[in-house]
Amino acid sequence: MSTDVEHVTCRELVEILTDYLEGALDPAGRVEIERHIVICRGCSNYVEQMRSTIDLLGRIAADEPAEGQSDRLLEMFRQWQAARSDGG
Amino acid sequence: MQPVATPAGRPPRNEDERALVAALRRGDEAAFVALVQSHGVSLQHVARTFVRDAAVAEEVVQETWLAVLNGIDRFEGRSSLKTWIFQILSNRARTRAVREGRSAPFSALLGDSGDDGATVDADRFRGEDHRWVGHWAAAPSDWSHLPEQTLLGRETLARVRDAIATLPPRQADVLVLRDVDGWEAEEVCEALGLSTGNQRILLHRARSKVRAALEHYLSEGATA
Amino acid sequence: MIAYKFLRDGRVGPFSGMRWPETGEWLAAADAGRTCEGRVHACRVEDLAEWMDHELWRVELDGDVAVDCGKLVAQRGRLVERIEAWDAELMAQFAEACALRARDAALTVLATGSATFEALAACSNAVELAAVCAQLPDLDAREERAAGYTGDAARHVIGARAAPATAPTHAAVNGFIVAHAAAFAHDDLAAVAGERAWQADWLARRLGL
Repeated sequence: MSTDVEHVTCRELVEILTDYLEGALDPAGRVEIERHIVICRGCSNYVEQMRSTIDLLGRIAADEPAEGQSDRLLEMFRQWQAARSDGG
Repeated sequence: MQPVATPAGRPPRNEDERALVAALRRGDEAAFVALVQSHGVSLQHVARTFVRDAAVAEEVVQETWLAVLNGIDRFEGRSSLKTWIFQILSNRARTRAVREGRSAPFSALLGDSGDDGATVDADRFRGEDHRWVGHWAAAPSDWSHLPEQTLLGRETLARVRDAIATLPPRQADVLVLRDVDGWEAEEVCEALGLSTGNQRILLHRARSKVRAALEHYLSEGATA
Repeated sequence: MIAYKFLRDGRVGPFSGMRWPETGEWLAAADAGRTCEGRVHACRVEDLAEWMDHELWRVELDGDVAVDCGKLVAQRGRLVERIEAWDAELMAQFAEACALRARDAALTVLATGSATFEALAACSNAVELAAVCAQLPDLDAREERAAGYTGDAARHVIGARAAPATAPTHAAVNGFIVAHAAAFAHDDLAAVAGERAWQADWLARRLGL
């Protein structure tokens, strides 16, 4: 269609969303994304879903059980240290 | 265990890093403990992207630390200490994964070649014949309407972990370091030997898959 | 200079997510988090239709002010006063005015005197438009598309009135839809500017700008 009123569609937005969130788009590109979000609840929801996804990813670390390795690592270190000082 | 708010492994200034290396060479236990606290969690996460089994991943991490200590005299500082440690980990994890016969899902074996490039199914959008070609046909829903205990609950986090486990390893590496461990883009590029652009593409694909998995999960049992 | 700015509920920037300070207090771009190139953004009257959100404010900008990508960018800004006339009802009225103009554009495409032409011409509000557009006979591709834009716009008006919290999006998208509809009907991109100018004029009059 010759009447290309808008520069970015929803299908395009989902492909460049990471570029937008990473600040890798030039100002004109950023404005196109933002102008689209204003008129599109679907994309507004999609962007918020992506932000929620990133937020949830950040919560995984907190949810992990504490490392049981520390004692073994310390033991390993002390053996290495001892062998090293023996060796000169 | 580090507080979540503090991103793991912020690169120390060069002089801090030189002092740390020197202390390690002297056999300083406190220096080793500090190093483990900085990077241990991230190492575990990255190891898990290669070898699914948590116990095997722990062994790989253990071997990595030993290799770091045994190699500390030879570390020349051409790359950052963190980059060097993660390169050692990647090598060991890859070797171990091959040896273990890699019980990873099929998708992981494909590397990135399994991607068709589109991060959302084309049928979610209007087709060529429609007046709104390229716009949502089935729009994503508003997650802010979900109860907080659903969105932030243990089950949802478990689904996120499941989704990470199905990612190709390089996508998982980037996602884990960036979004789980909070590394900066430049740090991930250096540690994994990626260009900024490649790092971003991997991050994009990984995040998109996890979002899609979450959307699927949250819409399954969702009540209106 | 004086300009205008849309914010989310509670003086929150729609893209920065950052809350603006109280009226009268200057905000420098450095404090403003994720703004475009470290600048404060605002609208001229002609930009309003594309940036609609819940709250409309009169703002004062300071320092170098430039026009960039369809908005004003400045080093500093402060809220001067809330424009109370911009509320959910006015948003719905704007959406409806756009829907009726989309209908006007469709009439230039539809066969004069046809049943669909007469039915749409007789409509005086969005509810009537939506009803007609829900029951269209077979039309050729161009007519169907033109009527489609009209129906889309009419449904957005209904949506705005049904859920006022969503009214800003419905209003904004109807400005976009009618621009699309006019460009399609006249097969001329210049029609976009014409529609946007009409929208700016409507907003200026109704908001007393």
